[in-house]
Amino acid sequence: MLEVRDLVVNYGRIQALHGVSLNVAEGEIVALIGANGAGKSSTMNAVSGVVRASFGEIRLEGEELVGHPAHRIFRRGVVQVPEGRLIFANLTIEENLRLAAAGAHDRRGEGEELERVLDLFPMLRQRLKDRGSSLSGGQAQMLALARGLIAAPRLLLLDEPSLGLAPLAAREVFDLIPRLRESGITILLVEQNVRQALAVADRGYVLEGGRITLDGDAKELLGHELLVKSYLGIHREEVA
Amino acid sequence: MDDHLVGVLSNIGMISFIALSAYLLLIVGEISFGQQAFFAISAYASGIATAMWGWDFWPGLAWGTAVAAAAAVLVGIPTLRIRGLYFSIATLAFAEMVRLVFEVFKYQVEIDGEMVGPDGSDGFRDIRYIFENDITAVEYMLMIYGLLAAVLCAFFLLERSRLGSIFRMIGQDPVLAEMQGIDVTAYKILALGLAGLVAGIGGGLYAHLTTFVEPKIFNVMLGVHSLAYGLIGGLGTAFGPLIGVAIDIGFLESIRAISGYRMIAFGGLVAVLLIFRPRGLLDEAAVNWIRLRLRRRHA
Repeated sequence: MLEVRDLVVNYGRIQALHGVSLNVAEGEIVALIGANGAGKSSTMNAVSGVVRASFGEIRLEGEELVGHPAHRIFRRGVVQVPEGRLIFANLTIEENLRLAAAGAHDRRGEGEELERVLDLFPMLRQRLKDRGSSLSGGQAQMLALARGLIAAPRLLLLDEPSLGLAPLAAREVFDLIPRLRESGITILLVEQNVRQALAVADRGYVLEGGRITLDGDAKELLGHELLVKSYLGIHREEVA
Repeated sequence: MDDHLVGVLSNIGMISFIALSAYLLLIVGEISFGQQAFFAISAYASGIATAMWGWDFWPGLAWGTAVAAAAAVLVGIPTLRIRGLYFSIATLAFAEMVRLVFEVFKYQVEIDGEMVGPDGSDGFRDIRYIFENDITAVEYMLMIYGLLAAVLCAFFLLERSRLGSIFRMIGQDPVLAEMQGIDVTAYKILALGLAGLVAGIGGGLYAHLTTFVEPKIFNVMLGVHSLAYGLIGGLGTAFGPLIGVAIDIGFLESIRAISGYRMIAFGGLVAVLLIFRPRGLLDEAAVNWIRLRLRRRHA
């Protein structure tokens, strides 16, 4: 479904990505893991069009995405839930959701999608008229996720969905991810919590210094020596 | 009604249009130092229509407003691709360019043995429609406030509409808005066009009240003031900039004892508010609080 080939991203003179290549097949959950500054979010942002690729190809079902603005890529079904629980704090929860739906559906479709997403996040239904600024961290993350889902994405880019969340809220997010796949959404997941990310993913890619250094089946990666030493910080026996 | 009071109230009404114009751009997150350019363009264009072409007032005002809006869209297409400080500087440069063009713009025709029309730095005299048609100062003031009420209604409808929410989304986080499928540049051009239109209404009204316009009136200080009105009054509602205008012109200028120190008081007020209430007196939180109180009272 998504093919990234030799992707290079520069921020001025700094090269963030040095020829990243990866694939995501339809219906898959693929985790992109790595340390801070490894290039995970740059890869996500290049796919969603927020950051312009300096070189390389990004294809969605064969169609080139490089050079298209983010709003057009969104309309092709690539929806990013950005890092940091970014919501529109001055708008109500309903406005946050309806406006995200408006970018992808007509008015009738918008109402149906709103109902579908509120069934998934019942907490939001009770607070539709409240401002985004009144939500807790976990609730804001749920709203950010709901806003991504209301656009009925074909490919969902989840950037650090558990970052800064209390353990219970983080668990809710990770419980939700497999259910999203069951509803037909393909997911590319960036996550610092390597163990939880690989537990829900089918495959994974490890990024280091803007390069893919390791890739493979999620279960195999979870037991890989390099990954255990570098990211999990635990002994192999504990992983097992 | 006292002539001085009518003059002050008319002035507040006209300047409110340019304040609302700058406010609209603040809502989409852009700081424009150049709204006086569209005020000036409409002042000249509507003045030309009534004084030189013999048009009636309303078509003349509509023409001036349309020219100002079209100019704003044309400026928006190249400048809105740049953002933040660069956009602000570009609007300032454009406004100064417009002022300098009017400094050399000469277009005069002979009417009843007298040359009428823009005469470069000497300005544009005899825009006498309202006097020739026996419209009194009070009647004209009521026309200004009638138009202001209509524009305010349009702002309230806008703020409750999907378009208004999109404008606030863009103002809060344009990158996140783009990620939600919003064509940020297109909406900003629309906002700039609407802001040009609103400034244009004020410019047309101004030219016909004063009967005389000259380029130096439309200097950068008018742009700075129009921006400051929103920042003083607040960005939570369209009433905010009107409160800013009322404080500056209605209060500071009309109290003659302190009128000489008006700019000092005005500058100090802006500085204090930027420190303690960076989004003005009626910011979003204050407006929410007022709405909640009103809702509870009605419940």
